[in-house]
Amino acid sequence: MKTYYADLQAMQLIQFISMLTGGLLALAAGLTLYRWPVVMWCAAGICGGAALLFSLLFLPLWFRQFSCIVTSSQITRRTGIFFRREQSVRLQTIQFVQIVTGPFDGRCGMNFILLHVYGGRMLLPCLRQEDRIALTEYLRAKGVYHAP
Amino acid sequence: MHHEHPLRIIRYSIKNIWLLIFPLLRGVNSFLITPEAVVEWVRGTWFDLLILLCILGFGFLRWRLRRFTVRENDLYLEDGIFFRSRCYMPMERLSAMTLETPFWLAPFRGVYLYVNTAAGQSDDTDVRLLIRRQDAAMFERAVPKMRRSAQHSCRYRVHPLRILGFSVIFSSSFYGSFYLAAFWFQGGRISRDLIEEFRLNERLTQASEELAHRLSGIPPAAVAVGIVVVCMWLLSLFANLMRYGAFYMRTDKKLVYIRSGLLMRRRHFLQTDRINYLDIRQNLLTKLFCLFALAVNCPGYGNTRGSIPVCLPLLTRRELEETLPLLFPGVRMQKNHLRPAWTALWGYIWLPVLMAAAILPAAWMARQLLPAWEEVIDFFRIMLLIPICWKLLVQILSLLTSGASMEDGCLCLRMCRGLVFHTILAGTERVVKVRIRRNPWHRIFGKCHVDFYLRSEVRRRYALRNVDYETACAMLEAYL
Repeated sequence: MKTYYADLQAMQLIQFISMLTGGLLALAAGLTLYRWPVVMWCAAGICGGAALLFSLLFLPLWFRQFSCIVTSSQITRRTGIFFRREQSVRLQTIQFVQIVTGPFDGRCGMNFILLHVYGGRMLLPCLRQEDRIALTEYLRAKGVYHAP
Repeated sequence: MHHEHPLRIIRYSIKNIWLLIFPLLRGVNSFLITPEAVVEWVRGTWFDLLILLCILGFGFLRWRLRRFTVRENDLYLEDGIFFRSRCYMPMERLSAMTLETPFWLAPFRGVYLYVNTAAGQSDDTDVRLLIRRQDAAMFERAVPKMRRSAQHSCRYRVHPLRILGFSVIFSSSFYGSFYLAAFWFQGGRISRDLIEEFRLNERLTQASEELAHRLSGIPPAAVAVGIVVVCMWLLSLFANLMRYGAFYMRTDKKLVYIRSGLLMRRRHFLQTDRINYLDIRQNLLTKLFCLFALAVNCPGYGNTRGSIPVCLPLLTRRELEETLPLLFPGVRMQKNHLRPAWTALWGYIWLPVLMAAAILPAAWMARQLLPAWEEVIDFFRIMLLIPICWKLLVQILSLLTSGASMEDGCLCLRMCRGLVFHTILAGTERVVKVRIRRNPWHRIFGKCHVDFYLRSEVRRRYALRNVDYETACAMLEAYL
């Protein structure tokens, strides 16, 4: 049995992007709504506040709670902050595998494995590059999919 | 590695390109074709041209980076620009593969490919590609890897008259309205312009007035509605003929090959052991004439709205009894062991009876509120009673024929949904869930409803209503 966790580098990258997006939206609100100061400050506050809450509160909590447990017969994913969710799929029910990697072959934690199973899908997000390689090798060795 | 057909570049660009095409073409129209005019035009529209080039460039890049190949054991697909996606699909997991050649793609030698597995929660296609004809041959060569037996056992070429009969029987104004709505909403301005150009509104009004005059007593508005309904039915009939024309089926017990379609040729390859269950369909007419349509539930086959996943379009009882063991040896039709008693009649007919009874006061109230429309209201009162009486007949027949049995690992379930009678044949291992529902009346009289859920891409409930509770429990305990 092996447990995989989400890569904290991915969290930092998403934090940076969300802060940047929040800042740009606040700036856009300032540039377009300057004639109505109250509306402008409300819009800027909402954008900035949402970005801060998401980056500094939600993301760290989510990344801390996420884990993926791989055994010889199944994969279990645990997520959720207030409402914990545990999802298990058996290896033999996996129909096919989709591997998504970000720029630079998935450095900065941008590695996603999507398992297409009977009745749905299971997404394993923000894995380390080494973890992604190890997990895909394991799935290949188990015969879940074939690769040259 | 192979790329999709180059026509796909247009598909990847077309979403936003229309924003710029018309302003650019208007600019071209208004200038004379002289070098100075061209320079002037470019000076005015350079930004639009730059955006257009970016859109086309993005479409080309996306096409260029989307690649696929068929390897020894799997189908491999690469996609994405910034986030690269790699999809590994083992051949033995494929449930259905479809090659579709519309008539308008034939000059470009293009083919649509749809590949499906049993994965996912909805009946969306897993992989959809627009490929060249020579690449389609590569997929066809890979088909033997989907099956383990090379022995061909059955071939069926369906007579065109049967296809016509099947299309007539299973056409529906309801599905015709979908095609009309698609044309209206997606055609947008074009559809409205066409209606104006051909003066369809005026022609419809003229035709309905003329017919109303000949069929004295029927209001023109009612005739107009009748014409529209008949046109929608004809549209559905045409679509069915185009979809199921030239039907041919071949099976070797491991793979079912179906070829059909006139303007849009389709070739389906279905893995037999991925077929979840058989669905023998009849409506009221075919029930009376003992005709059957054999359909299959297989992930990826028959996903399009309005299409029936047909395996053999129209069979007599004798043909069905001879064909079924050859095509699918593991299943067979059985007599009903669990069936509703005649005392359950009200449970089957209460809805159409109440609807028919409600029409009379509803028509009376409508006449009071809109006295000027009395003729129209009377006409629609009669016209609404026809489908309700049809449904009533269907429900009575459903009471007489519904039932279930489970013997030797086979489930045979007969029930009615809407206006269609279904006979479901499946192995008991395909039964995912059985639910028994009882209301207070059921508890008093010892009855229940039994809901069967079978393995399928989309969740479907097959309900058997008002059967004996003890018999149902005994039957289910033995096999589940």
